[in-house]
Amino acid sequence: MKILIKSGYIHYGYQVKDKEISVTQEEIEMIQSLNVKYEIVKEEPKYKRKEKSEDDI
Amino acid sequence: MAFTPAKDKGGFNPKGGAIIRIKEVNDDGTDFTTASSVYDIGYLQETTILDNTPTTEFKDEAGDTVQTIEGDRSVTVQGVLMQRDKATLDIAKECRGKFYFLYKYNGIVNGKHQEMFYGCGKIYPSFEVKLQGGTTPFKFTATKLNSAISIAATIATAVITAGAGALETRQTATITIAAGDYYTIVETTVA
Repeated sequence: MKILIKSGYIHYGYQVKDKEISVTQEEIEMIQSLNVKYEIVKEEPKYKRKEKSEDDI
Repeated sequence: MAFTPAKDKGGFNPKGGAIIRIKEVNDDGTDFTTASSVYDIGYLQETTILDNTPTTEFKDEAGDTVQTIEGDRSVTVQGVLMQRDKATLDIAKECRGKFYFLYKYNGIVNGKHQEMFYGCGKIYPSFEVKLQGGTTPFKFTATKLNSAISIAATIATAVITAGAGALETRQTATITIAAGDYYTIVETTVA
């Protein structure tokens, strides 16, 4: 899961404020326990449905 | 944070763990791009872990205390180093202008290893060796963390097992210290 860190947080040695990081569910719980503000980043689906063009119709 | 003190005979232990390890970090507690090594500062004669906030009592004209105001908080680790080899004395010269993460092992209390992790702080750049005797004082002052810190299990393990005489496995999970705090105390049941 990707999250956007909104408040000051040093994740495994690196300052990640205003940065997106990939975390596990366990790490999310850890971040919550530290009262770090974050937003879950909606990930784009890997395969996008092709929109119908005028030619298809 | 809730605290739950209670009578427990296992909580006694006058002896410490005799281990302090340090690792250079940036002033905000982040690691260097090239992570620095972990160093054991040597044999310790004694240590004092201190989290002290003096208070000032305000009394009214009748002499009764009406308010107690907390003063400035000071979080330090002090000790006496038993070694006086060059590498130990060089700490005083090398630590100038630098910040360190500090690990302190306090031994086994109540069947649990007690370990303290200080996110960032400064070592007093001094030594004072009296001969005969040969010991020198050590002092570390922790700084308040602006950002919460999580220390990867691999780093925590590297800190715990660094130096001579690798120890039995203790804390092996990720260590966390909350923003606005100075240190965290971790207890792990003895295997």
